[in-house]
Amino acid sequence: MRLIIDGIVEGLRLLASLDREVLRITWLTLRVSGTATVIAVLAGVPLGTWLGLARFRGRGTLITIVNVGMGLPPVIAGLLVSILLWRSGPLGALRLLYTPTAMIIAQGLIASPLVIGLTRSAIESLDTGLQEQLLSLGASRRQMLWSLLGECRLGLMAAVIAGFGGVVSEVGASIMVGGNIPGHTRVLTTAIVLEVSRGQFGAAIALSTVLMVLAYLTTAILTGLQQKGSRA
Amino acid sequence: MTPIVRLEGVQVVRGGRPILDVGSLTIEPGELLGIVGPNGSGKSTLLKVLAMVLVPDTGQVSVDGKPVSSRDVDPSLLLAARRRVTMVFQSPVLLMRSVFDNVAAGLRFRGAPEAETRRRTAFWLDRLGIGKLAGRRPGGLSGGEVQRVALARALVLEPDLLLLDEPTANLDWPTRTRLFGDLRAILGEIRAGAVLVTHDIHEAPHFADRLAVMRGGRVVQSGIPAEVMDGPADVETAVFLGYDNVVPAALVAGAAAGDAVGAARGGLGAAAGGGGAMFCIGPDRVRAMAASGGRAAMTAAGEPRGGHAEGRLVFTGQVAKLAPWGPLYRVSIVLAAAREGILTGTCPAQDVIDGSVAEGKAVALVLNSADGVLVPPPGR
Repeated sequence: MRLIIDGIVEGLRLLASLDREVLRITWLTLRVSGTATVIAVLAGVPLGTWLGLARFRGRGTLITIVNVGMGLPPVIAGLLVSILLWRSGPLGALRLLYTPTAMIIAQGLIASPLVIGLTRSAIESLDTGLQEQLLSLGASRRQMLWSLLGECRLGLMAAVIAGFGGVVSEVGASIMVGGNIPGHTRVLTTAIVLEVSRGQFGAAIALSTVLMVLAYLTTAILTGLQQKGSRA
Repeated sequence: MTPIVRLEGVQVVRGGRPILDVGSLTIEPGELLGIVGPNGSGKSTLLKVLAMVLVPDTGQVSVDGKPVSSRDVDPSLLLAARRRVTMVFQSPVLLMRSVFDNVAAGLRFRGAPEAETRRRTAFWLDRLGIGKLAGRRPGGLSGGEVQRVALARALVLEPDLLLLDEPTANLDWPTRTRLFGDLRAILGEIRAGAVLVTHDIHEAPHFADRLAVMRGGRVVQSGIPAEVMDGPADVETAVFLGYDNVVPAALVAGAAAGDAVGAARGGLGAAAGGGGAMFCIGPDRVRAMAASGGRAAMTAAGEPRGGHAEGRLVFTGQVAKLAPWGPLYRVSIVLAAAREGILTGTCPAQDVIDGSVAEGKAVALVLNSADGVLVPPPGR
């Protein structure tokens, strides 16, 4: 009991003092996970749209692969990226291992299937007649696609929320490809793991609180946008 | 005059079977074409091909003489062609935006100036009586309101050709009739041609200058509405157009010779053995009445049309089925002369109320052969 109370007190003290280290870790977490999410959206929304609309042989298999990818364990994503970026690996020359860039790559790999899969299901949930009706109103192919995406904006926002939520909370890949180097690749989740292993529960609670607040705020903002979209 | 749209040898194949197979079809500028046919006859598919939202598997679609249906057609040419034709779908899907934005969508796709878009959108919303819905979202609209929004968003584009797929399916009868009157006037104003698809044979002739009948993906007959209605090309078309009674012509010819009952037996036998033309007549042109007044019945049927005095026939039989049919009753009788022969006529409700026509009772059916049509027998 004593342990918990001490931890909470220490945590609140760290937060109240706006500890520089905590701020730095928080900023890096936002930067890495935010960038990874943006990349996943830029790649995943077009791919998901294509997968939702196109009809071709092997589409079912591809959808299954994406669905499996939606549950990709972060440590496996970390392993794949580690192998790629390892000094003697295919992309070793880039010397990216143990950098924030490596973490962005790994997190992008985790978020992309989520964005692709949710975009596909959002697109497929639209009335199948809508495409023809838009074309008949004189939409070019590009205008039709934009209108379809506009129609499933709620589902797309859900894809963004799921993607960001998935990467901001993962720890396995970040430790593996980032290395949890203080001041360089240490993010909230990896820092929490470290503090707990050192028995520093106060610091762990403080960082966890920050992570929870961060996750809450971004989700709240995105959900707000989503609900605004449903009324617009 | 170059037709707006021309189809040549167009086929749409689904599951190895052609669901649309049109040898040649042209739509002239300003023409109002009605297309009727039972469900699944390929009407909607034909409209989608005309709207250029469905590329046929074989054949050619030309707009203003320029082919647009090949796979490697210039996308800007196709887009320009498609923008001359607008389709109102059977189940319109509205965008999850305001009614105003839905109606403005097509103009915005065309990059029309926003001021003009707003003016024209407001005009057509008012014109279709849905101005007060402008700010509403599609969620709360009734079926009829959705249908009007769908019409408004097509008409606002003032297309050269408007394609209407059962546009009145969700409307009640008075609204439908009014809308069709309106629509003819509107199409005249914007000098647009139109293709109206419907399975309601009473709707199309009111609207169209030319009527095409479809069955099994093919256009089986086309012509001016009166011609088609009065001269169906085959038995299926006749039945579809409301000529429910189909009997071997020999039966009618025999009856006309004098002894209706006797001739009927011989006529049916001859038809079963060798064929010959079929005589088709709508139940509305066959008057059922109590069998007792034979001569009186003949007189009650009124003067025959077109001077075919000799064509007035009387069949007797037992009422097998009686069912309300608008203000009348439909009366199906088993012919006394031939057990397998069933003929359907109509009688006023009063006859049913006073019991002169009732199930199981012997009645007479009176018809004028000039009210029926002769068509080739099925399978020819």
